[in-house]
Amino acid sequence: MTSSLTQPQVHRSDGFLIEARDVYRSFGQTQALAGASLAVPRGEILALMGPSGSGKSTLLHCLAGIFPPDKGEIWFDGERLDTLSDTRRTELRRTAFGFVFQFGQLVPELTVADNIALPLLLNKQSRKSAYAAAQAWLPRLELDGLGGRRTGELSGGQAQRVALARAMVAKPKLLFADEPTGSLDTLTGELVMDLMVSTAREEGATVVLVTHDARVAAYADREVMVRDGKIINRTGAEVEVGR
Amino acid sequence: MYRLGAQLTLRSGREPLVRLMITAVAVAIGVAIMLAVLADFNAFKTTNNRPAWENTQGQAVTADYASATNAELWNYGNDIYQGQTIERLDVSGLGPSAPVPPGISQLPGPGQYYASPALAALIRSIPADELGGRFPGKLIGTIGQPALTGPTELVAYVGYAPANLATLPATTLVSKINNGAGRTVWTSFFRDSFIVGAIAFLFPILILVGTATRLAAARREERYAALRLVGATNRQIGTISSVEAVISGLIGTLLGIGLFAALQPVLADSAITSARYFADEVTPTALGYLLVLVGVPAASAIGALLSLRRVRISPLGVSRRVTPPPPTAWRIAPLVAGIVLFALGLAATNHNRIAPSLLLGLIVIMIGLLVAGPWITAQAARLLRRFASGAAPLLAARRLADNPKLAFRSVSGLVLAVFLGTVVAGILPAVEYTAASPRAAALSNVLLDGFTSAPVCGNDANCSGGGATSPANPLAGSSAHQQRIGLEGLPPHAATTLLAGLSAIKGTTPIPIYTQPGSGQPTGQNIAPGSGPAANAAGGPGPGGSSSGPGGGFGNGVISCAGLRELAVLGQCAPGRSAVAVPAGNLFDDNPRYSTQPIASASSPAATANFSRLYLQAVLVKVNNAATLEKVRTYLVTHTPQSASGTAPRTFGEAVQARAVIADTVQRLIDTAVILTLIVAGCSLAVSVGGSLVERKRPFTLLRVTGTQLATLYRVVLLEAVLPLVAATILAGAVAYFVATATVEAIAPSGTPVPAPGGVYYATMAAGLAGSLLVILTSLPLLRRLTGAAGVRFE
Repeated sequence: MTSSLTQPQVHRSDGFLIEARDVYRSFGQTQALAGASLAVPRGEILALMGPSGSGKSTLLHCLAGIFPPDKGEIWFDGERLDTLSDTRRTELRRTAFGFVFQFGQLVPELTVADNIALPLLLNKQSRKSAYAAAQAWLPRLELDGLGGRRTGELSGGQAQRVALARAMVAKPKLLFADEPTGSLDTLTGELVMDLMVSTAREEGATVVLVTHDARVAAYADREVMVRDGKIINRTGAEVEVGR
Repeated sequence: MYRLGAQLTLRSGREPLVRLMITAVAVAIGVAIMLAVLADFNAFKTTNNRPAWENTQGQAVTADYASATNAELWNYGNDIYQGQTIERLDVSGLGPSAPVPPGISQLPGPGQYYASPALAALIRSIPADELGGRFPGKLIGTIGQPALTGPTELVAYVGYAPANLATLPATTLVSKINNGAGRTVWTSFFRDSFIVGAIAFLFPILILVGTATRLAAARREERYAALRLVGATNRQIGTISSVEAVISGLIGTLLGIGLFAALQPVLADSAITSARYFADEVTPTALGYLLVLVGVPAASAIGALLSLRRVRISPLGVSRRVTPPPPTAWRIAPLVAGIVLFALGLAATNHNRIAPSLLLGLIVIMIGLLVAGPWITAQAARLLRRFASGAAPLLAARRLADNPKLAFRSVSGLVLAVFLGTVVAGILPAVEYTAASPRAAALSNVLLDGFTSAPVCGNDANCSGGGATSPANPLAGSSAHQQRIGLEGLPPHAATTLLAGLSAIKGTTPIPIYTQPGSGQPTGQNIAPGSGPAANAAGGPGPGGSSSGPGGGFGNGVISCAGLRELAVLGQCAPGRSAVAVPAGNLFDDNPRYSTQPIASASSPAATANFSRLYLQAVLVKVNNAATLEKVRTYLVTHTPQSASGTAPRTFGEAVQARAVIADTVQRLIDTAVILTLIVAGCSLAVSVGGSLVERKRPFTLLRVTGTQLATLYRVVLLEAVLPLVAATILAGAVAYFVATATVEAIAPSGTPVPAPGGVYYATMAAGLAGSLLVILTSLPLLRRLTGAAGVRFE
């Protein structure tokens, strides 16, 4: 592997769960993404790193179908994502993706169990099965006895574990995490990352993780650098889809 | 800190400025309405407190009245034109220093009269035989504001020579004109109704002001956290928050004062009660303005400080204090207390007295609904959580259970409007039932005038044979001829002349009622106009104004069968008869429901049809239009003896209207309160829904980003607003229905049907609910915009 930071070349290949191909996205005068290309195999935990304003969160949002790119393609599981309707993309985000943000994603009036069951209820699952599934996640993420507590009364670490449970309860193929430990102290952050990685591996989920923290990135199977809206391999190695 | 607070409020960028303006506009609407209520109440009080010259009491006119100096002959009565009352003072000065009634500089002489501006305008614009002809002489000037209650009041001061006025029965000798305030049994009722109405929408106004000043509180609180980070204390944060609230409250108050000033002419022109007030009286007092100018910003500041108690602002951010405990069932207690108080008041109310606890109970009931509302909301949320499945009910139910007080507050004004509207819808049909009937409607264009008057002589000056009259013996001192007139009506020749004059008026059908020979004896039973049980409580006498005073016994009357055929609802003769004897006295009952009962039937005994020798007891005149009615009335007023009550004859329709005037006024007051409450409550709901969306922008945005459909969030917003509204509305409607039913059963005559709100009521309620839904729906585009993907960029 080379150490120069050069623009990697992406080649079409099978076995990738999600791909970005030469994606451009701007917001007003700001060019957030300028031809970013990325491919993530199934089951991989990928870390997107980069300084503030590099476009890593924008890339995550495009991969998740939140923003359609101005130019380029997004592929998910063999299907073109960026040309889907907003309704279909919303459905995908609800059924196939999970999200963990830095903070603020939980509904404060709902209890822990309510928040975790919410995605299943949104998918029209019965209350009984939704709450049964939610309850099953509590011990897995060291949330025993907290099912009836309001999320507004939880600590940061507990809240992030609830967010993780909510993201995983619908058994998503792909978990997006945007600075999941950004508001946590080191120890709590490590706990959350341990649980996220182990849970993802147990469920067979692929993870795309945005972070600026090298210690968090170390949990990943692979790291890519985002700079000036492009993907730069940290080691300078060519990024082949399928490696 | 004050300067910093002002700077943060006014120079923090576009978004805070927009919030400030929205808050100010909401406050302005509330302030404008408050000022309008204060203005109308002030006008009502001013009008009621003005010297009531028409309540002047005089002494009996004696034969030596002409020797009185500094006095005048005074004869006050009422006339009617197109359903409007004309207050008429016939006056004759005795001596150069005779007291002058308010509004003019000197008494009218014989052949002169003054009229109020509204009456003068009518006299000039309408043919003399319909109105002007009732006032003998020349219009020499207009009556000024001191004598009038409003610009539309119809008043006339008519000058007479003393000898002409002294002979009229109701003339008295007056040396001092009353300058005290006039009071009726309804004065305190209207005052209390104003208070009820003011309270009914004072709460929604305060809630609107409070909600508006809390707009986007979360974002402000985040800014406070930043200030805490650089060292500001909690006290200083409180100061800044208060300054922000005061500024928005003050701007809103000033805008509201401006809005009121712009709308004041429209308010002055409207008739919240039955009559308009003078424009310069429809204004809040200086104290009222001061209260609003100081009170509203102060209330905003207090509200801001109280709301800060729910959050803990630390340098690291804002956290909510522990969720308050849910409302307990004790919140129902004030509502129960109000119902008990109302029931006690109802038991103590009769036709002459409205018990204070009745209206107090009503006020406590309204307060009780507001206090119980959060508990009702919490219960409704529990039911929703239990029985509804899906994400939207879960989110809505939890949100409602988390803060039922806040949830109910946004719909509380609407609930009060439902309560008031239901009470009115339940009571007024019963009031109309007691007065109106299909028979009354069929006789609405039939005027009744009676001639067995009352005091043929009312004082010593127009009586012969000496002896003072008294209410018990109004005919004392009168000649036998006068006595017969008093008992039986107009003599045959006078009757013939009168009937010929009436028939000559195009569009009339006079139906005379004669006195049966030998029946005109004092019955000992006085049937004075308006002396029925509800006369004092209702709008006045029955249709026959000039009739049947004390001593005027309505024995059997005689009516032609041909005449009865013109008025089918009064009954029919048996076949082959020309005239029948009828109990004509019933026609003069003050309640049109009873005065329009049939007086003839197949079993009515036959009577002589030789009318030319009979005295004329009364006449029914059917008219074809309003102009003809006034011509008939002008003719009767100028060609028949003055009535004892001083009231001109009126139609059965006008009697119904007069009786309904109180109900109309109450309905108008309550309708106004309901409409204003709905406006304020609608604004409050819009601000509240919009504000809660702004506060929940982040979690809603992330919910949407993570796959929640917009439709689900729409349903959440709708459920959060509709559920407390429906739950509390059901309670308010039920309580209001109880209030209406209890009132009708306690006060209305037996046989009055139990209130059953009809289609109009349900349509109005549905329209109100639809209006509320519309307000909520207008906030949904804001939800879409706030939770768009662009909001995720910096998460």
